[in-house]
Amino acid sequence: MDLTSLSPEILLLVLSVGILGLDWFLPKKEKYVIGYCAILGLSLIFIVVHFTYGTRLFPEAANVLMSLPDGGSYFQGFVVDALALFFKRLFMVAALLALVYSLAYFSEDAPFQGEYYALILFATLGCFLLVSASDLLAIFVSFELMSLPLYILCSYLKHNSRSSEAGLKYFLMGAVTSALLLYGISLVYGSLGTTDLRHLVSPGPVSLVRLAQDPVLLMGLLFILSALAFKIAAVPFHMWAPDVYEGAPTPVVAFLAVAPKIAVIGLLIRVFLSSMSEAGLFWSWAFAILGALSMTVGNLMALHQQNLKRLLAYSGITQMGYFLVGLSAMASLPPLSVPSLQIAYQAVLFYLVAYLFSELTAFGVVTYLSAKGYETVNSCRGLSSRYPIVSLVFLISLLSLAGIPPMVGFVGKFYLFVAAFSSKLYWLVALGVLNSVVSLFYYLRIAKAMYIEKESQEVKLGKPFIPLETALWVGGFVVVLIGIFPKLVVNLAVSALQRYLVGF
Amino acid sequence: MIGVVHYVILSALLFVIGLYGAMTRKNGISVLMSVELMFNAANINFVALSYRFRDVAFLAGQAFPLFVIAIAAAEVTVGLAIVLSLYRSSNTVNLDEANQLRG
Repeated sequence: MDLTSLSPEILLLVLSVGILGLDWFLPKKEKYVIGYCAILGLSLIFIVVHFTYGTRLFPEAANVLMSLPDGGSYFQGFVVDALALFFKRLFMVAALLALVYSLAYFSEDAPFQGEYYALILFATLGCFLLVSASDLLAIFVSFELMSLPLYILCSYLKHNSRSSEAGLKYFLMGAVTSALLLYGISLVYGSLGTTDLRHLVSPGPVSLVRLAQDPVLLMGLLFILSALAFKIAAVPFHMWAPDVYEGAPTPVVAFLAVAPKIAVIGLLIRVFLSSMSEAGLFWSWAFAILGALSMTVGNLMALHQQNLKRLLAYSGITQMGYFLVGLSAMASLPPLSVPSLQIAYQAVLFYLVAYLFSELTAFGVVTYLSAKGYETVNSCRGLSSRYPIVSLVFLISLLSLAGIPPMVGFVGKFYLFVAAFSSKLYWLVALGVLNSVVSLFYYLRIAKAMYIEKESQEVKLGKPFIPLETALWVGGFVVVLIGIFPKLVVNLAVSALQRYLVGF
Repeated sequence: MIGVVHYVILSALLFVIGLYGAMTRKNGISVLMSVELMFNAANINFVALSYRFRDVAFLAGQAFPLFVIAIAAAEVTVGLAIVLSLYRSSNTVNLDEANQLRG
């Protein structure tokens, strides 16, 4: 058995167990080293995966399925293709930034540091496995591996009742979600007699006619879809998001707002789109309705929020709406129209990168503020005069989330709407553009507080923490850089897709 | 004669009872129990439906619940720990009283 194609997962597992082991040996005063070790280890894994995967170790990995005898999978459960590798790099970036934010947020003598960093890495491992899973069993197990550590992390502040409450709410919602997913899987298995995704998505079993004749299969797939919609907090499955975002520790929120959502979108691409295109029109409508609701409701609720984390929760719901527009555009295309499909795929992959950097940068600034207990829009008043760089980075990330030209968010949204337009989803494009305008209001409200309003209370952020400042600088820089030179990421997305689209 | 259909109906009932409980119960522990019902409903489905198939497909349905049982145990462990930590910090396991986060 060739284990090299599993090397990212194995390395990450070794790192997380190593972190737990390190926690044992370090004396109490030196526990803060653990966080730095986790960052160092993860950066090394990133370098290994990024530079050796596509070139030396696996010359063909950039665009070919791993050449295992049975077509690229372990026990038919695990696929390593370029698309999965694309997602894995995103998860590593998200986890790295979340780790840096954690260093800044928690004090050096915080309790349970070993467990904290190990759990973040375990959740990352779950995301890794989820985008590589090609069997419903593997999907369920990795879905749980991704979620369970996050429940614990949300209630990590043991003596803070808000954190416990956030953890409990996230857990209960998540447990019901898992049960929905599992029940859906059992129905799909009962109808098709297989848990292998390749049989499930190969053209044939899941055609429109079959869906209409087989209510069990339809219900199973709808259960799975609603479970995934829960995880990305798409309306009407969004109730947990604002509470969890508000109560949980900010670095954890930064991670759970990005990595699991990206993983689930990767899974949606695999399960619902890759070759279920015969029934595509049905799923296109499902995605379109979810997307339209998420964009509109998320925006309307965000308008009057005072708490920054709550506001970002609703804005995150809106962002998921934009993704769903892209997915809807993908699903509505007939399977053989490769050029338009490529546009739609690229748009979604590009916006994943845009969302990752904009959202994480925004949360970096919020981490900075909330580490000292400032979490409201009002506490941003006059921030620019005292902390010009932090304010500038915050402004850049907010403008990117809103979709203002020089930033990456604008390009991403532009691609998404072009894709939806070429799939003839005109009403969805109109709604999306309208919502972008509405969303400007609440993003600019924060900008106005930072730049125009006078300071009402004295905000003291403490002395600067170099790793966090660096991360913010890099985040803000990347958001502008990709916005001006989108080709950098488009090329990545194209190479992730080449083989995938030929499979049609 | 009891056939596959009876089991599937049983599992559907269990699932609905579990879902109803998870939506309406106020006590955190009761919600956990309801979620367990939902997991086990799916398990019954897997085992019962596996008798429709042969060979690998049959085994897939038989093996799935084993994984689910292990994961459900982990899930309950995490859930009880979180409920306990809420109880320690705010002296309640009642979900209605845990309402500091709203807006």
